Amino acid sequence: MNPWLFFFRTELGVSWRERRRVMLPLVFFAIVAFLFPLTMNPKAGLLARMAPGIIWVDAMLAIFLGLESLFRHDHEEGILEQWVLSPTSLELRVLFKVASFWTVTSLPLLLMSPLLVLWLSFPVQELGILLVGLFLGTVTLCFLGALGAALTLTLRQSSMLIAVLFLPIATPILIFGAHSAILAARDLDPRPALYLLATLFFLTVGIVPKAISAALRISYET
Amino acid sequence: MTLKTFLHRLGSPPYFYQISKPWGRAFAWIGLGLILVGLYGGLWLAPPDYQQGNGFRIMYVHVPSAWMSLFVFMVIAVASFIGLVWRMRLADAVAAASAPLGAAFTAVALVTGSLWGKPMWGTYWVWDARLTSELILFFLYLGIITLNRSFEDQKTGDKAAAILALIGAIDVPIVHYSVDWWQTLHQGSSFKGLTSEIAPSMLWPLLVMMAGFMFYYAWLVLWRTRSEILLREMDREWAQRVVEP
Amino acid sequence: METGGGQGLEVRAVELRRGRRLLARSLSFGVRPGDYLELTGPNGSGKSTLLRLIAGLGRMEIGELFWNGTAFNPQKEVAHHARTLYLGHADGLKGLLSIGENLRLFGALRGCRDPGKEVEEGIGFYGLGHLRQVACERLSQGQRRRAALARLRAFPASLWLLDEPTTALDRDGVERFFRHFRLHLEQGGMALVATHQSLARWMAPAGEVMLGRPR
Repeated sequence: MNPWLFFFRTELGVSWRERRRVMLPLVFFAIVAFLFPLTMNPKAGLLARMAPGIIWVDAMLAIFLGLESLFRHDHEEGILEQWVLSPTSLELRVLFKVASFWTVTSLPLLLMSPLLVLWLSFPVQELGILLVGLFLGTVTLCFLGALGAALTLTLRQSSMLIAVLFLPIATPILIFGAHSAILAARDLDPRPALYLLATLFFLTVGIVPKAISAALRISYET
Repeated sequence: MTLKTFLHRLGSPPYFYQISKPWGRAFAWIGLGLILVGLYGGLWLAPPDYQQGNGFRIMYVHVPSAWMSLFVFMVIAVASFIGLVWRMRLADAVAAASAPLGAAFTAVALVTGSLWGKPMWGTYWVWDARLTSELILFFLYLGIITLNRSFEDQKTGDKAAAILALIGAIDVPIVHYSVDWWQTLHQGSSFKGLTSEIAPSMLWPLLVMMAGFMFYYAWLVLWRTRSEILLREMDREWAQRVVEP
Repeated sequence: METGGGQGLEVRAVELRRGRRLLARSLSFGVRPGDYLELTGPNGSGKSTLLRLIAGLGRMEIGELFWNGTAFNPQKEVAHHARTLYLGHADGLKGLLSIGENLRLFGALRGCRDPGKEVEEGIGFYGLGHLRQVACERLSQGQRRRAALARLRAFPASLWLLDEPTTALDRDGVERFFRHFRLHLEQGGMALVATHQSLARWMAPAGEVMLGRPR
C-alpha cells in the first residue's frame, strides 16, 4: 500500500479508537445551535435570517475545540520529532494529518447540518449551497487552526492562545461562508461568495502546510 | 562606506546598538517638532468643517494612527521574513520591538475612530469596514505579542511570531477585502467615512502629522530595539559590557 | 566545497547551547564506519542536546558536520535523515496502536512501501511476537523500549543516535540489543550512544566524548 495512504488510514484508525472524544465536538455543535432559539425570539423569520451565522460560528467553535489535542499526543509520544527527522516530506504529512483531522471533526458536522437547518428554519432547498460552503470553509478553518496548534505546540494550556491566533485569521472565511448561505436564502446568486471561499481554500491548502511544517520544526529547536 | 557595507554593519547588533542612540535622539526631536507643527496647523489654523464643525479635528490623530497601524504591520512582516530567511538577529529584535507599538497605534485608531463616529453616525460603534478591519488587526497584534513572549527560548518565540506575522500579512488585505465586500452586500447600512475632498488648509497639517508619527515610531522602535537586542545578546561579551560597564 | 576528515561522521568545532546556556564550546570528534562512541557527562551536560543537534532537531549556530568529508546541514539534508535513526527519551510509539501497527507506521514515515517483512524481523528479533496485537499504552516501559529498538532492526540506517537505549530493559533485552548492536557495527554501521552506565563491559566503544559540568 502507498505509504501516504497507509499513514492517512492509520490516523483515521487512531481517531476511531478514541471516538468518544472525537464525538464531543459534534455534541457541542448540536448543543450550541440548540441554545440560540432558546435565548432569542424563536420566530421563524428571525431564526432563518440568523441561521447561516449561527451554523458557521458554531462550526468554527467546534473545530476550535479539537485543535489543542491535534498535535498534542503525537508530540508527547515522540512521534512528531520522528516526523521532523523523516526523509519523507513533512508538508505532505501535515497535509494528510489535517485531512484526517477534518474527516473526524468536520465531516460529521456537515452530515449533521441538515438537522440544524430544520431547527433554525433555514430554507431546506438551499441545503446544497450551505454544504458546499461548509465543505470549503471547514477545510480551510482546519488548516488555519492547525497552524495555531503547531505554533503553540510546546506551550502548556495553549487553547486560549490558539483562540487568539486562530479566530482573527479565520474571519474572512466566516464572512464569505456565512454569506454564501445568506445569499442563497435570499434567492440571490451565492456563487461570488463560493468562488471567494474556494480561492481562500486553495490559497490556504497551498501555503499553510508549509507554515505548519516550519512551526513544527521551530518547536523542536531549542 | 557603500550602502551595502553599511547595511551589513547595521545588521551587527553591537554596531546597531552604538549608532542607534544618536539616530533615535534625532528622530525623537524631528517627530516632536512635526507633531507640534501638525497639531498647531490642525487645531488652530485649519477652518472648521462646514458639516462636522470642529469634530473632524480628531482626524489629525485618527488618520495617522490608522496609517501607522498598517505601516507597522508591514515593518513586522518584512522584518519577520528577513529574520526567518536570513536569520538576522536585528530583524527579530525590530519585529519584537514593533509589535506593541503597532498594537498601541491600532488601539488609538480604534478609540479615536469610534469617538469620531459618535457625531458622524450617532453611535460609538458601527460595523464600518475600516473600523472592523482595524479591530481584527488589533487582535492579530495581540496574538503576535503573546506568541513572541510565550516561549522559554526567545529565538523560538521570535520565529513562531514571525510565521504568524507573515500569515497575518497575507490575511490583513483579505480581511479588509472581505469586510468591504460584506459591507457592499448590506447596502442599507453603508456608512461614509472620510471620502470627500479635503481643502489644502486641512490637508497639510494631516500630512505633517503623518510624517511626525513616522518619526515618532522610528524613535520608539530604535529605542525598544536596543533593549530587545540586549535581551537576545545577554550572553555575549559586548552586551555584558554595556549592562555592567 | 569544504572537506573534512575521512569516512563517516565528523563533528567539528560545534558550540552546544540549551536556550541561553552554553554547554560546550568547540566540540570536535568523529565516528568511523564500524565504530561507536560513548557520550558521557553528568545530568544536564548536554548529551541529549548534542544527539538532537546531530539528528537535525536543533539549530547549529557555530560548528559544522561532515559526512564522508562533505559538509551538510542536519536540519535540511534529506539524505542525512534517510541514513540516520534517532531514538530519544520518548519511544515514538502511538499508545493506541499495537507494536506491529506502530512499526508499519514508522515504515511509512521512512517511505517504505510494504514494510511487512521488515516489521516481522524487528518484532521477532526483540522477542515481541506474543505482544504483536497489544496496544502500546498497555505495555510495560521495558516492552515499549524493545518495540522502539525493533524499529532500528526493521529499518536499518547507517548512523544510530541513541539516547540511553538500555533504559528499562531487562537482562534478556539488553543482551538482544547488544547482539543487534554488534551486527550493526559489523556491517559498517556507526553509532553515538548517550549513556550514564558505561557500555564497555558489553562492547568496547572506539572512544568517548565527555561533556563537562554545565556552567
